Amino acid sequence: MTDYGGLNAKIGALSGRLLGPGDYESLIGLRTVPEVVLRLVGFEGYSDLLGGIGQDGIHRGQIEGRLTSLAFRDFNGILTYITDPSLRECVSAFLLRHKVGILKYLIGSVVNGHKVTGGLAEIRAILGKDSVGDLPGLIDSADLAEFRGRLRGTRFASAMAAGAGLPTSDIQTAEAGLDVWHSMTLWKSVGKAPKESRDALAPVVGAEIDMQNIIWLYRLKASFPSAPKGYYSSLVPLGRRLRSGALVAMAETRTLRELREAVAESPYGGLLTDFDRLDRCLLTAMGGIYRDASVGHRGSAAPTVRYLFRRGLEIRNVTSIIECVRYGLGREEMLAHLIC
Amino acid sequence: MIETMKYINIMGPVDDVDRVIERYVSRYDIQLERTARELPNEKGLTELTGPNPYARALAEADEMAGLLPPAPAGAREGARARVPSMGAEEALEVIRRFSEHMGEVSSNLSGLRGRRDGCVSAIAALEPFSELEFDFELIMGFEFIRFAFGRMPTMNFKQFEAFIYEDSEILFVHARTVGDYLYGIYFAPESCMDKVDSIFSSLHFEKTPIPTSVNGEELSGSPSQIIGRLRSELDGLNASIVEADRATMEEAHAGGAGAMGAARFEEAREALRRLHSCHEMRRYAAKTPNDFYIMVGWTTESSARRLEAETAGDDRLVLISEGANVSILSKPPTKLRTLRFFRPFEFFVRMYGLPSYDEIDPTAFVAVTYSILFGMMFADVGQGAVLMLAGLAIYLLRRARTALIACVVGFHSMAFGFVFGSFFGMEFDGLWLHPAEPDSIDTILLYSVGIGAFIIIVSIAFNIANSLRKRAFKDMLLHPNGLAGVIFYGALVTIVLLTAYGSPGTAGKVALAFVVLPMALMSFREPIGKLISGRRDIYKGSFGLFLFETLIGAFEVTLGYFSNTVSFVRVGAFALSHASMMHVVFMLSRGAGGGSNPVTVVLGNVLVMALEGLLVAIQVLRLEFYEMFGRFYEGGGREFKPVEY
Repeated sequence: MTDYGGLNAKIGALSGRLLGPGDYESLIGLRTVPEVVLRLVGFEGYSDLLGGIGQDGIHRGQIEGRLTSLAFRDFNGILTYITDPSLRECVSAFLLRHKVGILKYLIGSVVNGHKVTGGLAEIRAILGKDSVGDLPGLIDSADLAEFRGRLRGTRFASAMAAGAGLPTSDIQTAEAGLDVWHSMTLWKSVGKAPKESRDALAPVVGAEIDMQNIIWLYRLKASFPSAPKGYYSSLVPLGRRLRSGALVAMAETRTLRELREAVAESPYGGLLTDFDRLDRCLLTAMGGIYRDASVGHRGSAAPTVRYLFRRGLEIRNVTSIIECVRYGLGREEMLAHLIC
Repeated sequence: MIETMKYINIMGPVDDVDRVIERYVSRYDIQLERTARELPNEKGLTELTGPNPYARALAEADEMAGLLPPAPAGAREGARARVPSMGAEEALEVIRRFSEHMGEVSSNLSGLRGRRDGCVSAIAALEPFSELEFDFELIMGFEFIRFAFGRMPTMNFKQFEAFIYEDSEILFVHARTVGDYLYGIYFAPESCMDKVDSIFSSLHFEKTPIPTSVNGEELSGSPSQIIGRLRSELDGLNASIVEADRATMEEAHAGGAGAMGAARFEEAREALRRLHSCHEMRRYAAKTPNDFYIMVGWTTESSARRLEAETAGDDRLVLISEGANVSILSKPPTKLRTLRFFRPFEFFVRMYGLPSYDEIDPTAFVAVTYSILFGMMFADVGQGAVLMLAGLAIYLLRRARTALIACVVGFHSMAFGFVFGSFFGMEFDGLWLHPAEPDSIDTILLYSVGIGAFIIIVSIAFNIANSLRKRAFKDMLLHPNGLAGVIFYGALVTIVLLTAYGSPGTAGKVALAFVVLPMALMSFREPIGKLISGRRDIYKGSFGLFLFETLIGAFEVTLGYFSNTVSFVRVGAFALSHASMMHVVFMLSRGAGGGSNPVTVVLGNVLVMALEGLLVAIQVLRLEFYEMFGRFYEGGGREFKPVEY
């Protein structure tokens, strides 16, 4: 039986360092990106990676990479507290989204021809033991086919197998493949976790997969309204409360309005209400689901993965603030981009 | 040392790019970068892509090269030396004439090879479906049902199962799963095959074209039966090809080689290879909207100077050579320039990671420290000689440079064998003391720690130098591996020595001056840095908590120094254990008569050499990577890889 007491104590300490509404307010009031960076450096745990870097011209990808690698230092510290291999694998799977994010960023740079010039140390810190082989070689790939080839033999090879025969510039296929693979890997890992964590986290992951499927389906239908059979390659073939039949029925709706009505009648109708800001709805809903799981299952990994989620949210919020400040948005507009 | 690199830009009219590549770029070691990516702010740049006009001729020449008798010794080198005199047209003409001569003779061979390739591709196509038992001819004859053989990613198959399989129009037969792919056949009525095809296409199903006949013979029977028959045919074809090869080579020897000579053919082939490589280099260049090319890359300073001098009189190109510290997107690559004596130890440095361009190359440091520490831990004249000779033998037989490491460390083991007086475990009066004697233990251990302290101080000095190169002045001054750290650590060592040698009063004064202040600077380096940059929020939270955390940090730094220093005790410990193990060997070899059994002595030596040798090698490497590199070395460099020509 895993002892969650020590782990929860560590999580409690780390959670105390998360930015609160007051901290965000202090950032929102600033006028320039260097000011925001300087203020951030003063917060607990941000000084190491942000101090000393060039503050002028720092761009979104760079700051997000820095923040994520900073968070991974804490994440790796958390993993050292977990001795049960299946639980460790389960918690590690919740970090996969960041690694998938890295791969998507690299895919984008390869396909669009924008060379990744820095941040290799941060990328390596995030990928950790999930080696991608020759990282500089991967970055220098001429096209998506070469990128896929260089991932052969790594954990991500099967994620990139989908669409390998397609035209090499099909970035959407590559990203969809990564997302589906991530969800399925996460689901499998939760299934192998110790019972108390499995019981706590299966509903959480299942809910996220269900809502993610609905969001992807909505976007695909908005972009490609007359090709319902083509949507399935972008959906996760798993579900918690939304079975495949219900998802197929949603895919077969003829208009977006019908789809919205179908979503409203689904178990997630009360959560996915703003179809113009579905990502925000998802994150807000997941915040509540993680909180309920954490409170209801203290003796499980739920508090831990909740912390991981909140930390990921913090990265998103900080990055959004920096971008809002860069573009000179007003306070109210900035607040609209934050999720607390 | 790391070679000084220069960033070069070459520009000129785009119709001149081949000449410039062939005349200049191909003759120097230049790591070309993709120009379009290097210059993202330049609008309208396009890469110079396109088929290589020499690819086909070169492939043909390479195939025909196998028909010629072996070229005389030195012909290939001679061909390379003579290449500049043979242009593209002449080379192509040579190849064409040879091909004409061999045309008739090799047509039979080509035919056989074509048939063989047909069998091979049919077997490869049918192999994944070999476990399915169905009549191939039967399904090929379906009128109202269409089908497709192929594979899809297993992940997509799960999507198919979840969302689509219940569709009654489709039947999917699973054949085999190989890696990330699942092979199978789907069937659907002809009337809706287009729709089903698009469904499977959206799930990334890759169709496998299955032939209905091979080499004029219709395929029938089950896939496994077809594969069996094709394999038999393949065996027969391979035998026929071997025979046809022999006949062709005889003809080439009789007619082809006499007509124009193997050497001339090699010249032409070499010329084509050169032209092909030069053309491939074009893909690194970029074309501007006004028909100029730009090519960028890295080369050594000496190469850049020679290239500048050579191109100075060429008015069709502009060459600009800039320093490595110019603000550009690429990091300068690292090319090590190590003294020959130290070069084998590059192996360890590369294992950790190449130094980045602005770091100090630690190879010489590793060579010296590794050799000395290994020698101390494996001190024996005889065993060191064996190691040295074994390394030399491997180097001479296999040309493996890493074997030279064994030579060097073996030599040092011999030297320390003389110091400690040991020859295959037999003691003699050495230059210093015997590790096996009880009185020597403390001395050896203390000297080991002393050597470790010295090495740590040198490592910190390297870090200071690295910080200076990177202009990280705060780290250079206040980091535990910076100036404050080396003063603090040096003072601690001095205090220990003074106390040991009976001067505690002086030790106290040293402590006050050179321990307290540097420790304070190290512990408060973050707030000091913030104060210098004009910030007021020098700490977060309460002052008490901040002070507590600072004290813990100071304790951690001190503990780190202590543990790193004490880690070097293992050097003395292995020296002692080596001597002790040989002592045991001789004890076991003594028989009832008092003499030593030579077989036991030899076997004991072999065992100790193998065990201790391996252990010592690993332990010294650990000291290098953790206690030394951990203080000053990051190793994030990228290797200089000039374009291969």
